Amino acid sequence: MKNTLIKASALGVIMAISISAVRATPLNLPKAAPLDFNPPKGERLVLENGMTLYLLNDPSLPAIRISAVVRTGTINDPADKVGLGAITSSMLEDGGSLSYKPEEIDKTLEYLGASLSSSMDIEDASFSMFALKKDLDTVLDIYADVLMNPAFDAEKFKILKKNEIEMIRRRNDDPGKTVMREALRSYYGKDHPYGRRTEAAVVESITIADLKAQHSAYYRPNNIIMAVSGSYGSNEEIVAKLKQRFGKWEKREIKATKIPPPARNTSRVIYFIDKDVPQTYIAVIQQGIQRPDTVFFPLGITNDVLGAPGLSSRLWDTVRARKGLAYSVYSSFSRRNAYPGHLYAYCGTKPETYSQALEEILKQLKRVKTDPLSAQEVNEAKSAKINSFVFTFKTPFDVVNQRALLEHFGFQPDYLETYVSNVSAVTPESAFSTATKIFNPDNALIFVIGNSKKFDRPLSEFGPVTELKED
Amino acid sequence: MKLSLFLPCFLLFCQPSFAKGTPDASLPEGAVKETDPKYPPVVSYTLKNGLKLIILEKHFAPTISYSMAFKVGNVDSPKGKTGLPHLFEHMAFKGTQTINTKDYKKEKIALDKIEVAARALIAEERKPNPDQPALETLKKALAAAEKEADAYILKDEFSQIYKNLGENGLNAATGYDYTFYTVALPANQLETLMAMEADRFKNAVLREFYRERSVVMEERRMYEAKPESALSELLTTTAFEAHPYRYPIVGWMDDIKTFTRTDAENFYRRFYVPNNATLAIVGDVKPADVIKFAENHFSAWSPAELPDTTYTREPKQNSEKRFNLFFKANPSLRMGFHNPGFSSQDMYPLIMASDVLSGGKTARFYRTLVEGKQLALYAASGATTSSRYPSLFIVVGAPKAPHTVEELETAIWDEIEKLKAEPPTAWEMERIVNAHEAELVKNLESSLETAQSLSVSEQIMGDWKFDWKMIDELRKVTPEDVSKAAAKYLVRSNYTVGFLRQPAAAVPIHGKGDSK
Repeated sequence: MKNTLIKASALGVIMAISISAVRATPLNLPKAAPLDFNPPKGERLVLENGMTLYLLNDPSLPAIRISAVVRTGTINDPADKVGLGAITSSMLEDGGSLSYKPEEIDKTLEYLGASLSSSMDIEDASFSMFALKKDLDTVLDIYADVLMNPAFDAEKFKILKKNEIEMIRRRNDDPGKTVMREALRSYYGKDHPYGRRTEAAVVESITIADLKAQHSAYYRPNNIIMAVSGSYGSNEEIVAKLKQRFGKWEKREIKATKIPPPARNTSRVIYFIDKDVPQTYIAVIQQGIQRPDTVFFPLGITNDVLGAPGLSSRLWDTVRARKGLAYSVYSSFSRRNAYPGHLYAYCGTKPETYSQALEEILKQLKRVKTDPLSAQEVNEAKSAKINSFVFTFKTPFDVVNQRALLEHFGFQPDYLETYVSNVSAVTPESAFSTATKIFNPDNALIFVIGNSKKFDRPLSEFGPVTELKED
Repeated sequence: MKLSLFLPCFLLFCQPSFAKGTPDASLPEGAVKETDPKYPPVVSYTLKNGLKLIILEKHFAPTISYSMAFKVGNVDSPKGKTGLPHLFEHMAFKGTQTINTKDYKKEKIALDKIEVAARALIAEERKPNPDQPALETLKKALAAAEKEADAYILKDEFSQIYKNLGENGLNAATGYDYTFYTVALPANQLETLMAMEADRFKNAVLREFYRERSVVMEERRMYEAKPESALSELLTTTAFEAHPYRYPIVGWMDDIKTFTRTDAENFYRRFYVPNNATLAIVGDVKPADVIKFAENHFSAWSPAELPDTTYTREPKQNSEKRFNLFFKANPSLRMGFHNPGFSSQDMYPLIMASDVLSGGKTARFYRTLVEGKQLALYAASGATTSSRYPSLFIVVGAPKAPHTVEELETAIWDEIEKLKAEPPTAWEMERIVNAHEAELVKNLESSLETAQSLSVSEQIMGDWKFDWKMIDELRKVTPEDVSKAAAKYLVRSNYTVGFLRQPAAAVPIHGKGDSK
C-alpha cells in the first residue's frame, strides 16, 4: 500500500507539468493537491474445484453483482458450427435449468427486479447476475443452477434460432456496422476464427446436443473466474453461500483450441461495396498486437495521440474539427487476442469528399511511423492515462470484474499496481520505435461502403480495388 | 448527442425541492441536506444568480462526476433554425476568451471577418438562382477568413486540458427538452472543474462555427443512414402538426445550412443563464467545498429574464395517420399516440400500461409476439418521448420473416385491445413497481449517470427527487386505471404508424389493423 501512495503523489506532479506545457495564455487554473489513492484490490481465493473468486464487499448500495468470466469464446466454435458458442451463451439466459423451468426463472427474476445476462466474445465469455440485497439467496440459487445445469429448453431454442436467423437477415441494414464486420472478415479471412461470421444454414444445423457438449466442455469451475461485489455481508458469508452452491461442481480438464495465426497483409488491398447511402463508411485495417504485449504501453500512447476515441487527437483535429469531414473518426487496436490482432481507423463521411477523409487518415497513420511524436504530445498522453487511472476503480464491481478479466487474459498479477509506472516509462523514443515497427498503412486493408457515383475521386487511386456484393 | 428510442422519463412538475430538508451545521447558510432515508442524502443550495447546486457525496473512488443541465432543448429552437440548440452544444467545446486562443483580442477581429464572409455566402446560397462564380468567390473569401483566424487558435485546448487531467465521460447531449454537459475528473480537480465550467458558460467563444456546422451535417447524414433513426424522425414529424416537438433534434439539413454564428450567440445569451441551470456533483467531495468553489467561480455569471417558452399546443389529432418509409433495410414499424404530458395524472397509468406491454420476458409483447405467435423479432413500448410538454407514447417492432409488418401491427393492436378490456393482474402491477425500484438502485451505481439524472430532474422537472416520486405515483395506480388510460389514449383517432420497407416491396396497404 505504501507503494501506491508514492505513485499517487506522482500524479499531481505530472498533472502540473502537463498544464504548464499546454498553456500559451495562462488561465490560472488552481493547483491540485496530490490525490490520496489506494486502489482497492478485492480478495482473491480459489475453491477446491478450481473456481477462482474475486470478492469486494461494499455496503453502500443494497445490491449484489456477480459475473463469471468463462475461458471460452467463439474461437472454440467448430469450423462447421460457427455461432455455437454465442447460441450456447444466449440460451443460458432463456433455456431454464435442471431445477427451474424457463418461465419460472423469468417470473421470479422480473418480479424481484433481478436479472441474468450472458455474453460471448472471441476469446472470453461471461455469465452474470444482478440482485437486490434482500433477494440474494433466491437469485443466487437460480444463477448457480443455470450456470452448472442449464436445460436448453427445446421450445426456447427453436425461438432463439429463428431470432438469430432474422438477425442475420438484417445484418446489413446499418452500413456503419457492416463495414467493420466485413473489413475484419476480409482481413483475417472468412474462415479464420477472428474473422468468420455465422450463417443462417449453420444456425439451422445446430442442435441441443451441440449446446450441451459446448457447455460441458467449457463451463467448468476450473475454467471460471468469478467476480462478486456488493452488500453481501462479510467475505466469509458469501464464500459459504458460493461453496454451498458451487462446491460440488466437478472440475474437468479443458481442451485448448489451437487456431492458426492470422496471415498478415503484405500489400495494399481495397474492398468496396457500392451502396446508395448518405455517408461513405471507411475502415482501414492492419496488423496489431497480441496479449499481453509489452509494447501495449508505448503503442497506447501513440494511439492516444493519433486517434483514440475522445474529443482531441490528430484524427479528430484534422478530419473532424479543422475540416468538418466527419462526425465519427477514430483509431483503435485490439489487445485481447492470443494471436496478433488488428489496428484500425474508422470514419463515416459524405461521398463527395470521401477521398479527403481517406487521404488524411492514411497520412496520419503514416506520420506516426515516420516522425516521432513531440515531447508535449507524449507528456499529455501520459498525463491523460495516468490521471484517468482512478476511473478504472469507479465501482466495486469494476474493481473485481477487471481483476478477473486481467487474470483471464494472462496479464501479470501486478498489472494494475505497475500500470502507472509503465505509462510513466514511455518516452518519445520508445513510442516511436514501437510505432515504426507496427504501423504499416501502405499495406493496410481498406474497406469502403458507399455510393461510387458521388465519389469525388475513384477509389482505385488508393490501390487495387476488389468490388464485393453485400451479403 | 444521443438519440435513443425513448428518452429517459425524468419529468414532473412537483413542488420545489429546495423548500424541505434540514440545515446542516457544516454547511453554509441556505444549504439543506435531505434527511429522509427514502432519498439519497443530497445537499442542495441556490446561488444568488439562480444557479442551483445538487451535491451527493460518494466516497468509494476518489473521483467527481459533474453534470450541468439547462432547460433548453430543440423545442426552443428559433423559427427556421431547428437543430440550433444541438449545434450550440457542439460549440460549447470550442473554448472561451482565454481557452483555445492565443490572443482573443486579435482573434475577435478575425472572427468578425469570418462572420461577414459567411453571411454573404449564405445570402447568395439562399437566392432562388445563386450565381455560381459569385458562390465560388464567396467560398474562397470564407476559407481565407477562417485561415486568418486559425493563427490565433489553440486547437481543441478545452478538451485537451480535461484529457490531461484524466477526464472520463466528457460529453454533452441535447434532447427536445434539455441540454446537459458531463465530465468526471479525479477528486483533487474540483476547483479546476468549477473554474473551467464557469469560464465555459460565462465566456463562450463560438470559434470555428462554420466547420462545426459541417460536422453536424455529417452527424445528420449518419442518422439518415440508420433505418431506426430515419423511421423515428418521420414518425415524429408526422404525428406532430403544430407543436415544435415535431422537429428533429439534429435539425433539418436546410436549417443547418443557414445557421450563422450570430444566431448561435443570440441563442446562447437568451438561454445559457444561471437561472436556467442546475449543476450536480456526485462523488468524493465535501459539499461545503463545492458550494464555496461554486460561489467563487459562478457567482459573477449574470442572470437574465428567461424567454417565453409557451408554444403552439398540439391540436387534437382526430385522424389515423399511416405512412410507408422506403428504405433499403428490412421491415420495421413505429407507432405513436399523443400522451397528455406530465401535467396530467394520466401519465402514470400510461407508464404502467407501457410496462405491462413491454420491458421483460414476462411482459405481454415478448410473451405473445416474440414467443407465442413468434412473429416479432422484437416489440417494445415507451410511454413518453420527452417531458416538458405532451409527447408521444411509442411502440416499435420488427417482424420475423416471413411475417409482415401488417401482421405485427394487427398483433400489437390485439394486445392493446386486450389491455383495455382486461385490467392487468396484481402480479404485473407489482412486477413493474419492483423493476422501477431496482432501476433506481442501478442508476446510483454510476456517479456520472446519477449526476446527469439529478441535474436534469431538478432543472426540467423542478425536483431532483422526481425518479423516486414517480414510483410513489406508480404505486397509487390501480389496474382499472391502466385499462382506462389505454382506452383513452391508445385509440385509432390518436394514432400514427410508420412502416419501413424496401422500395421494391412497396405495395399499397389497406389498413389491416382496422379490423379491430
